[in-house]
Amino acid sequence: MMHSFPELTIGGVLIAPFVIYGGAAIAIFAVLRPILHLVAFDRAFISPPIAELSLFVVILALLIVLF
Amino acid sequence: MLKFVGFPLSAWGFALRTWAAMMLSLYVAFWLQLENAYFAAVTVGILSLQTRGQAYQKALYRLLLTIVGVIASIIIAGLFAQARDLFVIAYASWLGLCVYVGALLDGNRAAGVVVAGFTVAFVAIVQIDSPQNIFLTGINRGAVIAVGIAALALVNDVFLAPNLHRILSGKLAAVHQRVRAFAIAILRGESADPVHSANLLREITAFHPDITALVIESSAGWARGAAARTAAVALVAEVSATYALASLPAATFPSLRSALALALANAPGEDSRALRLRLQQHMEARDADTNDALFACHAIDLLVEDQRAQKAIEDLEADRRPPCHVSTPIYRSRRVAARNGLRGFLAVLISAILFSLGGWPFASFGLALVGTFVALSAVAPRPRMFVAAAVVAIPIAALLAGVTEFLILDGVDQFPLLAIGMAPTVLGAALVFTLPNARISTTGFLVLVYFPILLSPANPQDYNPETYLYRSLLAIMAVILVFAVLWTILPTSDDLRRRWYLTSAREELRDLLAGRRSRHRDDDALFRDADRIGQLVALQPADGDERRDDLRQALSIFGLAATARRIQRELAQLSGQTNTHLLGDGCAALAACNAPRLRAAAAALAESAATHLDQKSQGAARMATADLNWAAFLIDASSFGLRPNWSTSP
Repeated sequence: MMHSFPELTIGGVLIAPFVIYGGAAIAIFAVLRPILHLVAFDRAFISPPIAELSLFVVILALLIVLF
Repeated sequence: MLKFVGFPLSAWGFALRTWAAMMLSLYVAFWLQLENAYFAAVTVGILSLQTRGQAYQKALYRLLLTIVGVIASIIIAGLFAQARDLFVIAYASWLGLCVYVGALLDGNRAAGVVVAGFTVAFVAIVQIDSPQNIFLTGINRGAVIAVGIAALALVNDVFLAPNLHRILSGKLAAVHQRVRAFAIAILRGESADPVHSANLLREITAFHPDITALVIESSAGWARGAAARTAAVALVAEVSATYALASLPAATFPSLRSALALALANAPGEDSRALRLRLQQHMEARDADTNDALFACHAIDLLVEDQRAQKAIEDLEADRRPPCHVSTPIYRSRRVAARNGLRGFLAVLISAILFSLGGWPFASFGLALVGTFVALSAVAPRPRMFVAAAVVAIPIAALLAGVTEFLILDGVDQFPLLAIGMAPTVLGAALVFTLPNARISTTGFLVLVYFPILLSPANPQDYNPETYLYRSLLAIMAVILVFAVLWTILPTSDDLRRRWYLTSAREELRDLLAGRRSRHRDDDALFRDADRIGQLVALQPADGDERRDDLRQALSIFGLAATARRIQRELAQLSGQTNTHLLGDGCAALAACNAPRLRAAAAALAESAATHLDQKSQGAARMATADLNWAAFLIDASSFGLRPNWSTSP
């Protein structure tokens, strides 16, 4: 079955679904940051930036697959 | 440090990351068939900063304020699409407003705010003949900026760009060592040079933009930011305590001086507790000489602040949030900001008239560039230096763009060849950007940003020499115009700024002495005052000893303001526990800046505390007594007349 992507329409202007997914992923990631600090996410990896980037990509991919 | 062709490997790493991000952003923008794809590369050039935190903070502000700029473009175009004169006036007013707000901020926040100003030029002004395209242009601009940001973030993360918090903690530790060395020199009998003290304050307050960028860098950013703020405030307080000790006679407490110097040299820890206890006893001794008590009081402050700074730097390294929250507000002169805003407004109006009289094609592009230069120079630490660097950088960027387009690329249409053709200029400009000399570094930055603008890589590239010549000439004219405007229209000389900074310091102290509490907490207000001194010392030196006198006066005001805040807090703590009349006397003496009355109030308070107060309140009373005596000492020692009836006119 084809996966349909939600399109946001503001005042008749169609917003690309990827923009919505990207915005939602950024919002979820921002909410997760204090929790990541609490669980010492930074200290669990040799390169925390790559770990955080990977986590962001996972969130974005999950949003695209699930919604 | 390993070097290659005269540049350290870290600089080469930065240059290669910048080039890789620029090419990636261009490739993605071409692939997505975005209009003005070259602007993705320009975005990377603008956001290319050496650490991840700084780049992300700048990117965030750039994206958010571009959205604000696009909304402003739509509103301005909607209101004045049929009246070009009003259209340009509205744009000039918007840019002036953004420059004003930007001049009240610092670092990437200031740069972000002015982006909202000149976005209107690139979205609305260049579409002045076809306002129906403004919305699409705005969306397109937002898309290319988002592509540029994503490319830079990916490259920075994958290629391990340095983390800001590591660099900042190293710098804070280095400054801490310098502050300790300054304190040890003072304790060994050297006199305090106001220029040295002010430069230390400047070094500390200059960390502010980096501290604000820590938050966005990683999930531990909030804790690191709080620790860095605490360290900066503690270092300012340590310099303040050292300067206070330097004001006391050099013969005060020789034995304690050497013990304190030794404790600082050995990085005070547990061992300093005994010394603090000893100092406390000297301060509390009823028969102590006033100077000895004051020395003990400031020596305790010095030790406490030194330990607080040390602990905060350790917290920053360990990602721990310090127990106390401090914010680090900055000082910005509203007069300077208003003048910058007005100059921005006038510069846009004058250049619009000149460009429309010229009747050249691409005149709207020239007008947009004028707005960019005016806005960016207004938020630069030294606007004239920035524009002077731009006068050199833009012709270089134009020349390199021409050479790249017509000699190196010369009609090719393969992307790998474009990437190779742009590499020498991008790598060279990024390397120059890493140099410590501010003028040369700014030139490198401007070449990095304006080279892709003037090259305007597109898919397919049109290789039109006429377009290249017009754009290059307009860019050079725009920067020369801004250079002329900066020197002729409402020029703000360093001498004028110096007078305004001192006047504002006097006005604020007068209000404080009169009992009007600052809206900032004591630590925060101390940092803000230190920031003003940092800006004062950064100005071009005045002739002769005038600079030293100005700084001495500013440091006296800084010290008295800090003491006045402490006195007010301590007297407020004592209210209801001791004779209200005594507290009122203290406040009145402070408001009158009367040294004998301050000493009398201190003596009366000490007398009353010994007989009427419990143990806890006696501690507060002793501190208040010491601070009242210190305020009297400062007023007597000042050669500038610290009186409430100072003239505030420049």
